[in-house]
Amino acid sequence: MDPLLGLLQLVDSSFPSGAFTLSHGLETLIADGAVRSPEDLEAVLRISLLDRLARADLVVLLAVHRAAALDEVLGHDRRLSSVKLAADDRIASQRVGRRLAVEASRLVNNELLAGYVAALADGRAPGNSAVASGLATRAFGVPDSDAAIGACWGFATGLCAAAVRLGLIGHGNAQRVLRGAGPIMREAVERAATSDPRDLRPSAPQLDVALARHETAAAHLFAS
Amino acid sequence: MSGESVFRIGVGGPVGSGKTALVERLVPLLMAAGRSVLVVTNDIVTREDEQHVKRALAGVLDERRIVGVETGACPHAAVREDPSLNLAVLAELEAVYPDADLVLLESGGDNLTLTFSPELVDHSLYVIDVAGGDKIPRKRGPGLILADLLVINKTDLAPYVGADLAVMDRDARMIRGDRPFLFTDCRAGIGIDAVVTHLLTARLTHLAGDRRRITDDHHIHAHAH
Repeated sequence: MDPLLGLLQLVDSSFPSGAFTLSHGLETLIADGAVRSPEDLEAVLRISLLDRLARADLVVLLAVHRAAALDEVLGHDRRLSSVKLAADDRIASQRVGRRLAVEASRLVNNELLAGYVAALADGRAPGNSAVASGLATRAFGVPDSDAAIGACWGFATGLCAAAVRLGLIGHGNAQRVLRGAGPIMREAVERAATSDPRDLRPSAPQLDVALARHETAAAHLFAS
Repeated sequence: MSGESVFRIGVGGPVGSGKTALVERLVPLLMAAGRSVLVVTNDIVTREDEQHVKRALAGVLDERRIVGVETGACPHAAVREDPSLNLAVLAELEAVYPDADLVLLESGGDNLTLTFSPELVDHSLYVIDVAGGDKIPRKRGPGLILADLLVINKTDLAPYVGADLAVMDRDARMIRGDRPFLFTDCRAGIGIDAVVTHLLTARLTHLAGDRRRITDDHHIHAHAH
């Protein structure tokens, strides 16, 4: 299949990975009154992309995309789990990643992806979303930088969709935020490409606190 | 990743119709019939249903066998278009409790269109209540029509809300054809035995292979024509 079509299929919000159930901390930030406007949402998106994804998830996605063997993939997977401090964030990434890997493996014959799904089944792999994305895009023939920009796009559309459902902004504003985030997504991918996957340093304390507080928050529309 | 021997039952219906009350009535009776039960609740806003079921079944069912799933404000998507989180939680639960052979998966979907993905559940119940008005069955909706069993709950309230059970009986027959429906009063525990009998029979039929969970292959072929 055409690699571009493969990328479109994998990052389409209709692809069944469960990502639509995540708010990436936004639910708590809105409940706390910390996020109140489209500008605040843009700030959350920028910080998430540049300070979290570009320093961890995207670095791992790129490393997995070029990994030589399954053992190397599993090492990246475990390291990514170890820097996801909040339980809801870590569990959400794993649940979505597991489903993404399983659903993608049903669509393509790929030894590495199949090996990873087997590792998930017998508990050898945490199943982070970035790892599943890296393996699935690779199996679909998607080039690594396209895969990484696709992951940024998937994250951004998920965050904006959550913002709409949480009543923060309207549908038109959500599209405006997405349209404006293009340069930040590109910058995040460029930063990730020059980072060492053995040295993951995501740093966005307010988001980590929000994600941690989500665990015990009263209101729960989203899984993170 | 999931055992085909586990019989998964979806329980859908409008908010307040008595889905949670029905689950709480069913669990002890299913356990008495020898079933090893798990419960998954899909809550719309909070973990209220999960907590309620845990309290109601304290001492009956180990609370670790009851898990709530958040639905990202899309209760229908979470059991139909993209049931990933439910599938993930079921895989986790079924790995921890390999003895489990029956799952009740309650959905917080709140209108008459709710159906479950046939890749998520093997059998589905749709619960409406008498207090919603005796016109409800006539309103149709895929959930109400296609569920394997329609449960019409809160029969005790009929005289207080001016609902005519005979009208509901007639309309349910009309829109559902041969598909069964039952009247219950979950609060008093009336009519629950018939639901249990229905589910145990459906499980045996399922295990006999008359109706398998639709696999991806079947699904793809069905759409290819």
